[in-house]
Amino acid sequence: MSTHNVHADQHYVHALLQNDTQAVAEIYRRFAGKVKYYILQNNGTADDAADIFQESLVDIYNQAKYKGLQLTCPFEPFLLMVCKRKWLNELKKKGRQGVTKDIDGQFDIGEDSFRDAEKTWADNEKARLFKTMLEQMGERCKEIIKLSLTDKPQEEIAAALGVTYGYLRKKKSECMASLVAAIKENLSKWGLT
Amino acid sequence: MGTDMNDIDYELIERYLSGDMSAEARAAFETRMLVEPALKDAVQHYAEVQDSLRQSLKDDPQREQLKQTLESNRHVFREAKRIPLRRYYITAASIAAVIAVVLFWSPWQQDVYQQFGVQEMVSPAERGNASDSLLQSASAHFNHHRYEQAIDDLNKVIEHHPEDAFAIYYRGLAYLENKQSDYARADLEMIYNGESVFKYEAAFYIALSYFREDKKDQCRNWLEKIPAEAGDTHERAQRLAKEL
Repeated sequence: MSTHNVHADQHYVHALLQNDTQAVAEIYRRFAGKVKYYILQNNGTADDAADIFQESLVDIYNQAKYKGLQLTCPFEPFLLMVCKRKWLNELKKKGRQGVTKDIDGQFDIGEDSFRDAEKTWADNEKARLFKTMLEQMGERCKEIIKLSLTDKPQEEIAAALGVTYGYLRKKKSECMASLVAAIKENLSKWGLT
Repeated sequence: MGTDMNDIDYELIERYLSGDMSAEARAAFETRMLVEPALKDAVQHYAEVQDSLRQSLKDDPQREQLKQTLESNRHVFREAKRIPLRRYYITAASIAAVIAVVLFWSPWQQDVYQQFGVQEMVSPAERGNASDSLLQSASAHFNHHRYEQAIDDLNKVIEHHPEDAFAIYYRGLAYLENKQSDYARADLEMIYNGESVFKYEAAFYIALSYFREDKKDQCRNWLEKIPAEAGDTHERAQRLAKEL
């Protein structure tokens, strides 16, 4: 993703980063219709469409803020691609019938953009999977992992938990091992590889 | 030397990633990673999970604000049946409502149908795309009572945007004015069954179509579908009910 290929529509990404309310309203005005149409055509409701649209915009925000996403294609097909990927996966998770109707030619974006859109969805979906699996762990593991991933010094965290630093490190690595195992088990269920 | 998943020493990974290792131990560990792909994978996965969680567990007030902005736009998904109404349609509808009210109060209106009838199709603001120029043309025909031509234009818009509530609504009204009540009611009922801003206006004009045919029961049924919250339309419905 080299800078000179950045598409002019990157301003929509900035709008999300800056919480530019007027530009965000424009995103809804211009692009919500197609997403709604697509989801209604594929076993979804208007509420599903609103959820998918909203989550996709947050995913794009995250990808731009934390992974330096830069658009190399217009915003619309990129957004539609993320929404479509997300909805396909929702259907799969719920065991509902797959998507049959596409939006004509809306997804003819370049290979790089296609990869970026796919990655935007996948990185965010992984983050959701990791968080969900963490929440399903025992209280102690949850507490240890959450605390040790803050910016506080590990010695301080050990003291707060009433354990030694060595014990905290050992316990954390055990908890992480079971978290990693749980994640691996659920990757394909979540449509991730 | 092969490494099985079960043999992975996660505490060692933890020490490696947190920099809690002597230079020697670190070098040895990195050499092992070169020859043990399973260990290297495990380290990468551990780091990926850790980094992702570190980011998603951290508060991001900016993201929370964005979510609020997004939430406040959610109504866009509920406005029309499928393709949401663009803002200028809503503006157009309010202008139309105002014009209708003004004309309704006008003392020069004699005939009841005329009094309640369709007056104007407000042309949408210019946006420069093909549908919009068709809508402009449709509104010009409509406002000069050339309903057949207006219907032709609106058909073309609807062909490309089958859920365009604005176009369907005005095509219904054009049919109504063109004395094609069945077609009119088909379009207007579609609008009534959706969630468009023209919902109750559509109900009113269906009622009016029955009024014109002297089908009082059906007319009354449709007028009753218009709730008080429909404002001006409700008021007009009440007045038409009195004429029955």
